[in-house]
Amino acid sequence: MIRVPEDADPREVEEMIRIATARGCKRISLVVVGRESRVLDRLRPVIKGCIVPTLGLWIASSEEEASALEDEDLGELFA
Amino acid sequence: MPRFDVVLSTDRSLMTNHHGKEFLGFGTTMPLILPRRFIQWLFCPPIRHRDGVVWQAPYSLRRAEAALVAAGIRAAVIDPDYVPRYVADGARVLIVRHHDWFGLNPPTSTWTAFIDKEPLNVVLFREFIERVRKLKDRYDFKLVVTGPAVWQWLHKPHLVEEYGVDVIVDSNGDREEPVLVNVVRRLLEGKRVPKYIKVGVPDSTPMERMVPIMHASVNGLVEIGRGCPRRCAFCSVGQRPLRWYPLDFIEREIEANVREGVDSGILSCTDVLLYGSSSVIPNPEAVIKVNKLAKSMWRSVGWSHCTLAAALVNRRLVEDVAHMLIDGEKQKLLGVEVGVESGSVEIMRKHMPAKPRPFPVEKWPEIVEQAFALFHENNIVPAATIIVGLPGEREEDVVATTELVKRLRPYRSLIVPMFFVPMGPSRLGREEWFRRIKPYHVDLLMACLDHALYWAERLIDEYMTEKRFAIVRRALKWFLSRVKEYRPRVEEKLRSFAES
Repeated sequence: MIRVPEDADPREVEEMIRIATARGCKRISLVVVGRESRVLDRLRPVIKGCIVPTLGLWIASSEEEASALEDEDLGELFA
Repeated sequence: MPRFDVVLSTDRSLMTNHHGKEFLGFGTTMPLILPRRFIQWLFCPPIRHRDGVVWQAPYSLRRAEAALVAAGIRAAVIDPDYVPRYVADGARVLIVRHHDWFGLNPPTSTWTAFIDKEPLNVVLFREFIERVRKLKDRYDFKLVVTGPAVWQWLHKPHLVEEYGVDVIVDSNGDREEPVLVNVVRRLLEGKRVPKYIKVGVPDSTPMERMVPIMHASVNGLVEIGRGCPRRCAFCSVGQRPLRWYPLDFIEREIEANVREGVDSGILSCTDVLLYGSSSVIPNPEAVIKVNKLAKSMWRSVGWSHCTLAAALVNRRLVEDVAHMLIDGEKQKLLGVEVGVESGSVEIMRKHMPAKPRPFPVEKWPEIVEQAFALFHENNIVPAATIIVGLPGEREEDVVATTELVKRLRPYRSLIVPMFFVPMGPSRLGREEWFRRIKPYHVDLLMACLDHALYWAERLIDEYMTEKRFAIVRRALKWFLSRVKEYRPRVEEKLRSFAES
């Protein structure tokens, strides 16, 4: 699970995914606090270009909500 | 009226059987240059249903439905006009699937690049999703959007909020039944689900987890495999592992169609001629077997796609299969989509070097011509695509393609130009969209149109032989006559567009 700031540079996010993938991660959760449309717009190149690994993008409306997401297991979706 | 926890649907452009003629489906991508009521009747009439439970449904919705039902979830594919009733009656999840939500994919995007009218499929989807939006205000249900083109929502992020989309499942061009089942389970349990799920290659659905369809698919289309060994850069299918379904799986899906009165069908995959092969060399025994199976159960059999190179590798196989399928009585032609994409060896080498294999890429234009000739002799009618504006394209590449199109005139076929679109899961997914038409592009577009006008009228008579198609046949001919009449204006408009 990677916490991503709302205004993160998409290239930095991509680099984080690349490093995680190189370390053997098959599924990655990105957690972002922000407005849905803004987050999707900003991360479009990251999401569109990603073929491996599997990505789950969680968009939280507050820091508390984002923290609660840390208990979520993306793997359950692929069981 | 039955009750369902999960309703699957889509708009009318896809929830139709196009009068039982799959090729007419292309008509739904055209801009509304003629009265909408006529165009809609001609290309996407309503499908028969009982209480909204449709007789035929898009294959991908059927696969999702089968997976959900097999998992013990009450689910069904419902006609778009009946979605409000089922939502009002307690459905808690609505799954909507589409392959061109906003008209950004070819060929829709090709028409709209120079015709200032909305395409029918775009209008129909917008009207449908706006109805769903209103339902969301009244009822408590989750909206899941899925399918190979969900990347389009990333280009319209404000609409994700506006239409109240809860989950986007992006399967990278593959189907995604197990993920969808788990998403639905979590939603039904009131658990959180990511806003956007992109299913990576390692999570591609394994064969043993695929569930065959239980009910009829549109025009009997059944999938016989997934993936592609050629891995062209513009295409998403090759990103996925190559898998061929066993014959008993295919037989069960054909049976599901026959049982519900669909007596003809389409074998679907990237290359029917490679069924059962792990390379680009056909496995004749497997190809014969799958076609024999289909023909033993259906009156007529179509193919969704095949490749020109595979056809030339084993000409005898093509002749044998055509002879078996085209019996002259129940079936006069065999329709299939093929990719020509370009007449330029340089473009082929750059973006799809494996497309001509096992032949050398330098031979591509010859391969295309010879394969078209082979098809013509065997009553196989290819509907070919050309991609205009691939990255790095030069004038000489386009000229080479135009010349190839002109050389293909003697062969019964349709050739559809498509403007390059950087589709989500492909290796060219981050390239620029093709937008700048040059005069030499107009030459190519007009060559394709002239080819279509030359063959379309002849094909209508051969494609729609039964009496029950008399009205549709007449309507199509009238439509064609209008296109012919507009041809000079189309060229004029394109030329002015290219110069501006």
